[in-house]
Amino acid sequence: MAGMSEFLDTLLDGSVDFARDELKNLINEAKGDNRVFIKHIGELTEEFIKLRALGQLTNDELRELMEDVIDLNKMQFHKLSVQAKVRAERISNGIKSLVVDSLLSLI
Amino acid sequence: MAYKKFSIGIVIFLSLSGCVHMVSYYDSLSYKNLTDLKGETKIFFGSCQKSTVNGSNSLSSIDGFILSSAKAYEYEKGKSLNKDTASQLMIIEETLSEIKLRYAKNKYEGDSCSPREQGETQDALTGCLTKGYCIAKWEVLKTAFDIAISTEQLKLEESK
Repeated sequence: MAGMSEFLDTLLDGSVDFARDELKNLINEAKGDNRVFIKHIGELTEEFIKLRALGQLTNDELRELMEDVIDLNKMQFHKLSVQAKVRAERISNGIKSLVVDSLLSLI
Repeated sequence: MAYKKFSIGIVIFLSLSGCVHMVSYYDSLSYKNLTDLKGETKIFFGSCQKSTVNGSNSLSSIDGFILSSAKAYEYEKGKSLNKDTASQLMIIEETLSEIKLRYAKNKYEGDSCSPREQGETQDALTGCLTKGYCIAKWEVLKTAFDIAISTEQLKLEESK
């Protein structure tokens, strides 16, 4: 299985000035992340570049798919927002029930 | 001193306000809308990944996905404390709409699917989707549905 270097070699002329190492590092960093979502985003990015290198996607399709990946990040942000709100809600209601309603009526 | 005032403020607020709600309740219809749409698109993309799709049947399937997602978005938008989920549904609707645009940008001719020439009028009726696009787009959609479904499931935590 070819890696990112081979895919980029297929896509780019050797003389082209492109931040290959930065892109490779970005993808490797994401793939090595211990958070499942970030790891998945790194894998998707690599897979889509691979499909482009294999001629199964056009540039326009790759652009659309990369914008989709950015949208997935936005969706994940909304998920984390809901998660934080649910936790805050549980703590607030716990304080209300246990401290305000119960403890304060007993002391 | 400031901390004490803040704490007293919280206690007063909580005692006056009853239960605190920051996010909409878990909704089984929202969950069903998402899982149904994921299932329908999964079947479509399953066949699309095996061979090029074209023709009016495929186009009406895509139209059906867009319609279902638009309805689901409107449903979520109407609920209070639900901006996060509504935003997620809006992204799913846009992602599905892109598939129709892609369909129209391509042309099915002589058993193959390829992008139209520059300047050529886009036409969904003669359009198509390639296998490579379907493989990649399904990865995006599957992830998007999983995020939205797990977000709705998080709301079950409220009732525990």
